[in-house]
Amino acid sequence: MNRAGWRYPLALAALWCMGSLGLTGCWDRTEVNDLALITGAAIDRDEAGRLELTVQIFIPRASGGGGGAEPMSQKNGSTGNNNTFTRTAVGENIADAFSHLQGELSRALFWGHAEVIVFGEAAAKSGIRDHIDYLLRAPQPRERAFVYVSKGKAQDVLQLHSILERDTAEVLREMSKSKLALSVTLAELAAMLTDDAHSAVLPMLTIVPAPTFKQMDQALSFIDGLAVFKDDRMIGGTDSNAARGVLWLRNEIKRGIVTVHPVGPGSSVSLKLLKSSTRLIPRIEGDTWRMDVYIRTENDALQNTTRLNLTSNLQAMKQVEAEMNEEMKSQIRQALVAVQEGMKVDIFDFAGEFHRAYPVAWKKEKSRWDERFPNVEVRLHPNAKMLRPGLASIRSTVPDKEYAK
Amino acid sequence: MSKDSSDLVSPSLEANLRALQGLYENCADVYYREFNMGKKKAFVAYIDGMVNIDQLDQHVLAPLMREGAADAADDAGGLPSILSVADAGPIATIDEGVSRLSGGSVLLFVDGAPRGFALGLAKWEKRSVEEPAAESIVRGPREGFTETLNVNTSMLRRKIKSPAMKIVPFEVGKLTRTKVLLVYVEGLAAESLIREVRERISRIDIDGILESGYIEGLIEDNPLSPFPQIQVTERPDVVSASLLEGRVAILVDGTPFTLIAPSTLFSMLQSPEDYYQRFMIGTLIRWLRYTFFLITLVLPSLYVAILTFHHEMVPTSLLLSIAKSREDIPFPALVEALLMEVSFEALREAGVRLPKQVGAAVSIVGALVIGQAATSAGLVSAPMVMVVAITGIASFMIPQYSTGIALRMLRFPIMFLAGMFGLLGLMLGVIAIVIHLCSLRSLGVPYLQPLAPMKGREMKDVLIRAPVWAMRTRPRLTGRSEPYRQPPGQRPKPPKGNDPS
Repeated sequence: MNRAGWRYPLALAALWCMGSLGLTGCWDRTEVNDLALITGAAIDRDEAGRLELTVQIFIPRASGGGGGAEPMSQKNGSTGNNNTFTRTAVGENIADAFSHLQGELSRALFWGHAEVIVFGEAAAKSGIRDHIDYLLRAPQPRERAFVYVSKGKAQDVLQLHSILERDTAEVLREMSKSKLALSVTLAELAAMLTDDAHSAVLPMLTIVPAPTFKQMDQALSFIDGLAVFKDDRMIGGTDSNAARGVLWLRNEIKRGIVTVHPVGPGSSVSLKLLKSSTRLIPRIEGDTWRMDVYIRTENDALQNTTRLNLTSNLQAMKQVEAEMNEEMKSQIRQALVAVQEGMKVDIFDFAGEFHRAYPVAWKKEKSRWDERFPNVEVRLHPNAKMLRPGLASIRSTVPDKEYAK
Repeated sequence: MSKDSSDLVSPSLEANLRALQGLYENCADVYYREFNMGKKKAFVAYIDGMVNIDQLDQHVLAPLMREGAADAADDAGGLPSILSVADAGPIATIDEGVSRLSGGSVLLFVDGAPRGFALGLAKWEKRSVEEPAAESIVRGPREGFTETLNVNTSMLRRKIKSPAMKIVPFEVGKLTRTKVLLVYVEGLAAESLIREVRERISRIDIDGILESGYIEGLIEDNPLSPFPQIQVTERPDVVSASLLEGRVAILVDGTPFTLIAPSTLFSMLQSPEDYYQRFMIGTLIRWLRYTFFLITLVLPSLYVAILTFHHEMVPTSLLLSIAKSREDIPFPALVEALLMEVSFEALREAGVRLPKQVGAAVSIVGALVIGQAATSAGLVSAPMVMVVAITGIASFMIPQYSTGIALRMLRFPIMFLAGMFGLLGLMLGVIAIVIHLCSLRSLGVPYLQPLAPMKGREMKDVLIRAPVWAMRTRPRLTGRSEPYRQPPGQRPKPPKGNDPS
């Protein structure tokens, strides 16, 4: 065929393709203006056993659009914020409730920025596996969202006002990011539930009521203790002391301040945790299964109200370190008493450790792990190091003479 | 050029005068001055405004009209010997005379002489050598080419004094008869390259060449590409540097803009100052330029794609603040971006065209329209203004203006793709551009040269700007003549061993 012969149909084909591009274009386009951005979600169970899905939705208009034109003084004052509102819908499962919720709203609900997911106590106790299934299966929710359990209804947490942060979801997220307490993401939760131990642990939220009626909007929630899950059901909680012990065992403690009393009550040394690493070494000797826990920590002395001279007196430092070891032991013991002996749930992933170290033995004992776990002997070997005792060797309140004694 | 007998200079003065007057009929700027050389008649012809009249009087007319000159004129070849004019040569044909005449020469015809003479007394008003406005620089020579060819070649010759620098003349354009010079350094530029350029220039058959852009458009490899394949500069130092790398330059009479070929995408992204400043900042600025090269191309599209399709990709706080500022905007992100980009382009174009007196007013209005007013009128969101502003600045960072234009153009189709298919479309557009760039060639040299095909040694001038003492080899363009610039060991260091001092 001559050149001119096929040039025309080719041009026509190209034109046709380009035209069809324009026709298909934009079919799944959604402008930000058409989105209701979910900042946090709460999952509750009502008395009838149905699911209540509460979402916190960002209101773009509330704080007087960015536009650049409005004067800054229009920013809302100290009365917390109304950047968000919450909405609840009831349904058989999340997907169902979500569709009801969507029916009530003018904009498309968007999970993509939901960074916190709170389970109510009742919902947690009745099992969360089905909910997790939705959150992991649907494409929009983030696997990196932080998950919590709240005492009482979860929706109450989302309905609180936040003074410091943009909204309550952001408050929770910031708390989790700071790593002072346990933080668990959706992906981690899913991993925990499918692990050998079939257990999980989530941070527990408590609502602190407002100090006075006038300051109603100053009620806040914070992470206080842990919620312990056996399989996918919550079976109990721990207080914050035991929670610290759990963090030590799970090697999740990154920051913190420990106060010890090396010379008896009345005076104390506070240590700032700089670094901590926990190693679990499982041992099987005959029929006794044992777990050796080695914890190394590095600390700064933050405050010293005792008469010990930490700078020049090596003995005093050793004393403080020993006391710190004792403190760690006691916190961990509390956790073990509550969780290992009380709830008999392996949230420390001892199961995984044994599995890795003794695959053959594990295979045999796997089915009896629940009976085996409470009897695992845990030996603690804390090793606290004080790296920086501080520069001031003499307390200003104690005269030199007295100090020299 | 017909060489028949009528075209030859005739011994008869009358015939020559008639021939010239016939050619230059109705040309008021051509002057004829008839005079007597003793007994002989003679005349000079010149074009007003192109000739140094003072010199014509003093060095041509005065000696000729003096008694005795006529004797020298008897011997036709002897005439130049009594004229104190450096450039005085015989002309055999009228046509030759015409081309000399329009070049500013004075034609001298003597009755009875079989040849005429062309006396190079050209002088016309020219712009003085100034700093090139479009390629300003902090450190480096401040001279730029002018519209006058011999001034330009002198600037080059002053930089490269070796006789190895060759200048080959061409005359292009049937009516304009523009002088075009091909400049190269013998031994550095590949023979095949010179042959190819010569051939491409001689192939041009056109009525007029008014700017080097005509030549560029007629000799480039892929005329349908948005990317320029020939570098343009008005800086003699840039041309010299390219000549030393084995490239060739094409100078065109009447324009300060000189073509450099072959050139690659990376040579378009290099500023002469990269080499004049210390090498670390040179490297850093180069990377900054690469970054902003990408930003010019994709930033608005990226913004549109993410805001229309991929909301989950923005950090939450950022999305929330964008959502806030976009809340009252009536347009989709794509329309918003187009609106801003088009008005920015319009503003830029207007800024170039406007008379200087109005320019300031327009830039103020423009800044207000684009920045303040558009956002407060609720037409455009503040983040979009940011995006457009950054893109605008980014496009100015590319040293080669024509490359910047290419990116500015390509930004729009990518924006459409991004608006229709999100990041998928954006990538589609970018891939198409990369494929195109890979297929481009500049006088046979692949456009992405040291990168594709990969040439590790030449990365010293692409990924970094190596110190001068480390740039030992020339880029390998089409040939491999004289690969080394300098012997090794040029790195300055304190003397070794026992210092006598």
